[in-house]
Amino acid sequence: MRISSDEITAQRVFRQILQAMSRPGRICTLPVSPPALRKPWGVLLLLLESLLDHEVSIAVIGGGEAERLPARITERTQCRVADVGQADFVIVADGESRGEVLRAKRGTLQYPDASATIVFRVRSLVSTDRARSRAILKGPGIRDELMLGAIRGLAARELDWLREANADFPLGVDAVFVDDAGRILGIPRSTDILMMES
Amino acid sequence: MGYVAVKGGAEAIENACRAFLFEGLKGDAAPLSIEQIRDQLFLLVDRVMGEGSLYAPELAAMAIRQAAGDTLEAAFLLRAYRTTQPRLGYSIARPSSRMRVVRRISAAFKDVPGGQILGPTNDYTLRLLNFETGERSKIHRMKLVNEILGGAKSAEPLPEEFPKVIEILRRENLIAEANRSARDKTPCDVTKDSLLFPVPRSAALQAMARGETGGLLLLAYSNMRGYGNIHPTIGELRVGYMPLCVRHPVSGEPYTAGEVMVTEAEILARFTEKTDGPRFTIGYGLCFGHNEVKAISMAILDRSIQAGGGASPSEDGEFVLSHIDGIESMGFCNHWKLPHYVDFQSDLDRLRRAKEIHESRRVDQR
Amino acid sequence: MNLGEWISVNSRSGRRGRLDYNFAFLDDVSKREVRRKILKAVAIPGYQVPFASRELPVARGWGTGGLQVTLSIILPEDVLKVIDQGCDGSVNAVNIKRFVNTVTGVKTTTDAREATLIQTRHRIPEEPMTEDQILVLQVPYPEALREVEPSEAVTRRMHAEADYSRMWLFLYEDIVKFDEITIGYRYPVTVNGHYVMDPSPIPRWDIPKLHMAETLFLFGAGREKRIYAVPPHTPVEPLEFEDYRFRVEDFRGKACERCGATDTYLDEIIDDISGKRLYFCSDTGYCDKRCRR
Repeated sequence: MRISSDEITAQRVFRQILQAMSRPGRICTLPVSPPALRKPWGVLLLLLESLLDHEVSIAVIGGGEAERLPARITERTQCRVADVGQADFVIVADGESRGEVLRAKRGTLQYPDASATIVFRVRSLVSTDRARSRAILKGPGIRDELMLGAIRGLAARELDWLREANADFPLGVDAVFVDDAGRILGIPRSTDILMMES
Repeated sequence: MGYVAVKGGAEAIENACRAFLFEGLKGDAAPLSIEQIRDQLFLLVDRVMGEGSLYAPELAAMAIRQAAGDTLEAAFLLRAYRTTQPRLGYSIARPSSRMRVVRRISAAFKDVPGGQILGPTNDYTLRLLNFETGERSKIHRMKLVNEILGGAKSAEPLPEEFPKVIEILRRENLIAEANRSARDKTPCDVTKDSLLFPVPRSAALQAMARGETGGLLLLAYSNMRGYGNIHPTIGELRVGYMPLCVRHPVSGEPYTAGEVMVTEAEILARFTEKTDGPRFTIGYGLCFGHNEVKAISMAILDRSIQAGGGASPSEDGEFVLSHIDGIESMGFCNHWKLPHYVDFQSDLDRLRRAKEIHESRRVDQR
Repeated sequence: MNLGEWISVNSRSGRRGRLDYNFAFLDDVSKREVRRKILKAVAIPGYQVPFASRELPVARGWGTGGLQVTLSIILPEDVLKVIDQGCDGSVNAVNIKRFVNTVTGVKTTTDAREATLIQTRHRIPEEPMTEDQILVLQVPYPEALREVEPSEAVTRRMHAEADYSRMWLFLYEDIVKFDEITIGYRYPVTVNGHYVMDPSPIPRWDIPKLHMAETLFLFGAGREKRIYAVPPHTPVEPLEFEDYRFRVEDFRGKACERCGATDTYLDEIIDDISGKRLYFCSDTGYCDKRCRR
C-alpha cells in the first residue's frame, strides 16, 4: 500500500465539509498549507479536489479572473463543464450569482439528490459580528437556532435566492461557503433561513 | 458454565481460516497447479471469469484453487480483485460478425450460410461416467491428440467471417427493430451507477453478463415452462474469439490489443401484434468464455424483460436484475450466519409481550 | 507498443501512482462518489441516496456499505471502534477492524469514549456519543417500506409522494391481531417530520438515541447500494398511534451478571447445565468499563 499525501489531505478536507454540512452555520476550517493559501483559487481548488472527478460537471458564475477558473478546475479534477441548469456543482466565484442560483438543478421528488451543490467563494466568514448578521438558521444539525454570522463578499440577495430555491423540500440545492483563509460553512436545503430585518 | 467468554474472537477467526487451508492440504494427492485447472477445467474457468466479471484465465484458475472449487467464492475473489485494478477506459465496440468462430450453430434453419459448425461440445456425448482413474502418461496423451488431429480430413479452412443468421431474416424484413430510446445511445456502466428501475437495456445486459449461471437458468427455465411466453428458437449460437479493440494510449489510433473468448446467443421469439406488423423479436445474450447455458438463458431473459407486462418473475425487469448477481446473493445468504442475537432478543421480547396479551385476553373471556 | 508494454514503461519511469493501492483501499474516484453521496444524504435527512457501491474483499451482506462510508471519511488520526451486536470481539467486527487497520494504519479501541469513529452492526453504544464522533451503521435493508412492498420502483414513488399509508396499515393490522405492534428491530421512524426511514436492525432500545442527538449518524447499505444519514439535532420519531405508543424492550427485574447494570440492553443466555437464564450487557465495552470501576 502506498500512502499518497494528496489523498489524505483530500480526506481531511472532506471531513471538514461533512462537518459543515452536518452542522449548518458552524464555521469549519480546511487544512490548507501555506503554499496553497498563496496560490490564486488555492483554497477553492483544494475543496473541489476532494469532491470532483470525471463523473461530474461544473458551471462557474463570475466574470473577470473567474473566466479562467473552469479550465483550472477541469485540469485538476478531470470534471466536465456544463450549463448552470445541468451542472452538479455550481461555483459562484466571487459571491455574486445574480440570481443564477435559481437555475441550478433541484432534483426530482423521486431523486432529490440529483441536484446541484452551490459553492460560494466569499471574502471572509466571520463568526461573531452579530450586528451585521442577516439571518437566523434552524433545522437539522442546529441546536435550537443559530444566528448566521456576517459573510463578507456575499451579495445582498444571495440568501433570499437560496431560500427560494429550497422552498419545496426535498427539492433544492445545498450550499457551501468558502473564504480565502480556508474557512467554510454549509447550508443544506434542510435548513430554514429566517431573514432578519436589517 | 457460570460466565460466557466474549473475548477470543480474533484467535478463533485465525484458526478457522487455518482449518480451512488444512482441509485442502491434508490429502496425499499432488497439489493442483494453476495450469492444470486453466487447461483441463476450462469450462469452470470460463464460468468463474464470467461471474467474476474479469477476463483473466490464470487468475480465475487461482481463485478456483483458493476457493476449493466453490464457484460463488471464486467469482467473488475475482470481483474483489477487479475493484483494485485501474480503469484505463472502454474498448471500442465491434460487431460479433467479426468473431473468430470456434462453434456456430442455428436451430432455426437446417443449414445456414457458412454451415453448422459444431465445434468442441459435449452436447452429443453419452453421459456415461468414465472410470479411467489412472493418470495418463504424456506419451499416451500425445497419442490421443495425434489421433484426433491426424484423423481430421484435410478440410477447407473456416471462412474468416460468418454472416449473422439474424441479418438474413432482417433483410427479409422479418425482424422487429429494437426500441431505441435516447437513453440507449451511450451504454451505461453498471459498475459506476447503481441500477435505477426501469433500467436501460445496456444496463440490463451488463448485469446479466456478470450474473450467476444458476440464477439466470432458473429464471429463464421458468419462462420456458410457461411462467411467461417467449417460445424461443435459437437463431444463432456462437462461441469464439472477439477482438479487443482499444485506442492507443499515445497515438489515439484504434488497434487490437488481443482477443477474448465469448459465447453469444441470439434467440427469436414468436411474433406478436405489438410490433409494427407481424415480425420476430430478438433476445440477446453474451458472456465471457464458453458458457452456453448462461448465454441462452440471458437471451431469453433479455426478451422477456423487454416484453415485460406479464405477471411472472422472468418478465419483471426489477425482479430479474435484483436477484441474479451471485456475489450479492451469496454474500447475503451467508450473512445469516453472522450473530443476530440482539435482533432475536428484540423478537423474543415482542413474542413474550404478545403472549402476555394473548393470555390476559383468554382470562378476560372466561 | 502494446498496452502491456506501455504500462511497464510508465511503471519504470515512476508513474506508479495510478497502479498502487490507495490509502483506505478505495480508489480516488470511488471515494469521491461516496463523499458526494454522503453530503446529499446529510442534506436530505432520512432519504436513501443511490450509489455505485464497489466490491470489497469482504462479502456483500457483511458490511460493505458501512465500510465504504468509513473508508471514504477515515483519517490516520482517527481512533476506530468496530462492534457487532454491541460486541467488539464478534467475528464480523474483528474482521472489519482488521481490514480497516491494514489499509489505514489507524489506532483501534474498544472504548466508546476514546473512539472518534465507530462502525457498528445492529447496535448503538450505550454511552451517549458526542459531537466529535461519527457513528457509521451497517444496513442490510435500507428500505423501511420493503415489508409492505417488494418493488423498489414502487417504494421510491411512495417516498416521493410521502404516501406511507400502507406502512400505517401494516402497523394497524398488527394491533388488530396481537394488540401490540410486533416489530422488534428495524422499527420504522420519521426523520425531520418528512421521510420514513429504516434505522437498520437496531433494537427498539436504541431508537431514542437517534433523536436530537449530538452526533452524526451515517448509514451504508452496500449490497442494496444506498447511503442515508441523520444529522445531529434532528427529530427522529418512531411511528406510533396515540393509544398504542412506541415501547422499548422490557428488562425490568433483570440485571447484567457481570457488572450489575439494570439500564442497558441485555443479551439473554441460557445456561446449558441448569437451564437458567442469565443476562449480560450487549455493549461489552461498556460492561468492561463498569466492571473496572
